Amino acid sequence: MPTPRRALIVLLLLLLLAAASLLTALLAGSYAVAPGVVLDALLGGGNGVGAEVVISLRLPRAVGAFACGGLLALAGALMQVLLRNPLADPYVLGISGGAGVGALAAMLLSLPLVFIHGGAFAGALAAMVLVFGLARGDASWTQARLLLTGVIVAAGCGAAVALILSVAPEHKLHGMLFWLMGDAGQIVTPWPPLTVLAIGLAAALPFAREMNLLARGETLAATLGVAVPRLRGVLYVLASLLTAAAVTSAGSIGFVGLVVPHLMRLLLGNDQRLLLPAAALGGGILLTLADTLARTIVAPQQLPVGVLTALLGVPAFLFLLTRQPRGSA
Amino acid sequence: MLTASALDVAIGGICVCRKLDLSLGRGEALAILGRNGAGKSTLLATLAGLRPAQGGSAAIAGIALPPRDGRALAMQRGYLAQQQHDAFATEVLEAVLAGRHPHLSRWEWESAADTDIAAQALAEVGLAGFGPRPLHTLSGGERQRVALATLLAQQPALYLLDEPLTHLDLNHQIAALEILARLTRAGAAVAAVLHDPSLALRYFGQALLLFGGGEWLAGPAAEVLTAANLTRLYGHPLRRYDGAGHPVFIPE
Repeated sequence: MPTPRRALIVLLLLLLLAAASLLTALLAGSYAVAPGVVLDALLGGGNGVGAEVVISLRLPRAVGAFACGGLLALAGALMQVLLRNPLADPYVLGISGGAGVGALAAMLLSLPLVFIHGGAFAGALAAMVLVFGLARGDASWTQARLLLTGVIVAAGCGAAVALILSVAPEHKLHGMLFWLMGDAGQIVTPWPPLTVLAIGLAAALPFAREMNLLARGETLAATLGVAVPRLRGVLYVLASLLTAAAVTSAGSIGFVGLVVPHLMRLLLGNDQRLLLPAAALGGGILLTLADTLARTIVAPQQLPVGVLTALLGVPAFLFLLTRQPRGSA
Repeated sequence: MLTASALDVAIGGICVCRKLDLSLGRGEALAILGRNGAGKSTLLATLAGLRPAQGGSAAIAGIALPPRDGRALAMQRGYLAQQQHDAFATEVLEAVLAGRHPHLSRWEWESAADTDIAAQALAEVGLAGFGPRPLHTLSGGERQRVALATLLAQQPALYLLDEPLTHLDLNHQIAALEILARLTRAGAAVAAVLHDPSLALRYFGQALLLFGGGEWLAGPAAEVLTAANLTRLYGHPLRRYDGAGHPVFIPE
């Protein structure tokens, strides 16, 4: 169990890593910018092409990717507690499926970018409300019923996405696939995901100790005075909104939401008071680095960032897993 | 400490008890006995304020059940549930510290005093030094004792225990019952679901028998726990033997 002091040290270290990952993202790219120019540009000085590239191209994308990674990892950590299932990720309850249907429908109709984002957000909210309504149907609101409802809605959305893909004209398919795999290149401004991340973290942290109890068992939590139905409602709405914000900004980037909470759990233990902020920072770091690689390794071609998150995350995760004594994950 | 009046409890269309009247004061211990499926756990969960009753009323330390403020109730009553499955890895000490939750405000972290209480609770159940062990590496009986330690760390005034002796060896069964007896002597109220009428008679002053179908019988253990009543309760003839220091009931 972490002490407040240890938690603070760990979070400070992660903040440093986060700053380093963002700096890396600002430095890297096909257009070479000297570190001095980057610093000047960040401090408001400097002009010319280098400063322009850093401030208006790389900075919004890097910060946006960071925010989306944080959103997904935080949402994943919340979902894992809500469903008491280590395999849960932000997409398990159909949020990304709903967003996918909305976004792809907008693309199919050749609507402008704002409608693609709007469609994604509306689709995510629709899936969230649908799952919530159906799972609450008999007022029991059990984990099994919630999970089952979510998985079924996700499957339905998956079919709708496949339908859109199969009727879409050839020249739109590439964009649609990129959206589905997740692409930080579509981030217009980093502020919405960053704001939602800050609000989400601030809203989740007061419930962190109650979440520790819920993760150990519903009865135990209720016995010790946790208002379990209310807490589960808070978790569901928070995790869904965080996921919706991330998916709306950058498409359904996979893997971050599943693996980062586990990585942090392996490293730091399962105290949500430390795990939630650590997962948010860790998710941000992973996605920033992955996105930097995605736009540089085969530049000027870009790779879908979801591929990179998996390529980076899988070995890191497996390494940590095998380093642990057997069966403690 | 715990009162129930005209309490109706039912689950899945089966009546557990009809018009149950019960009063358990400080320093008193109640054993709840009944056949499998008679609804012992359901009744205990209802008395713990974890599920609503179908009629009548119940209260713990003046707090009507089910409570509006779960934390205020958790300061008064502890509840040991039957074994639960752990989804995530936990350290033993961390698990026991969960019992301190109602004592801490929202932003408070467990203090050194809380850790001391948890370590002491672990020592009391014979698990001193188990603190850093991962919970899932413990045996079933050891986990049951961790759950008991969590309850002790909560330090409530009313202890409700659902089959506290499951998975425990004989020596640990007696040790657990001795802990409960010590708590009772110190002024706590204890109610436990048990399967052994001999141990119930030895360690508990009061007894409640659930016959199924809503019928119940409650009173001083010495009056309620008779061979005749128990024979009817379990639907199997039992005989009482005295002379071994403590009376025991043996199935024929």
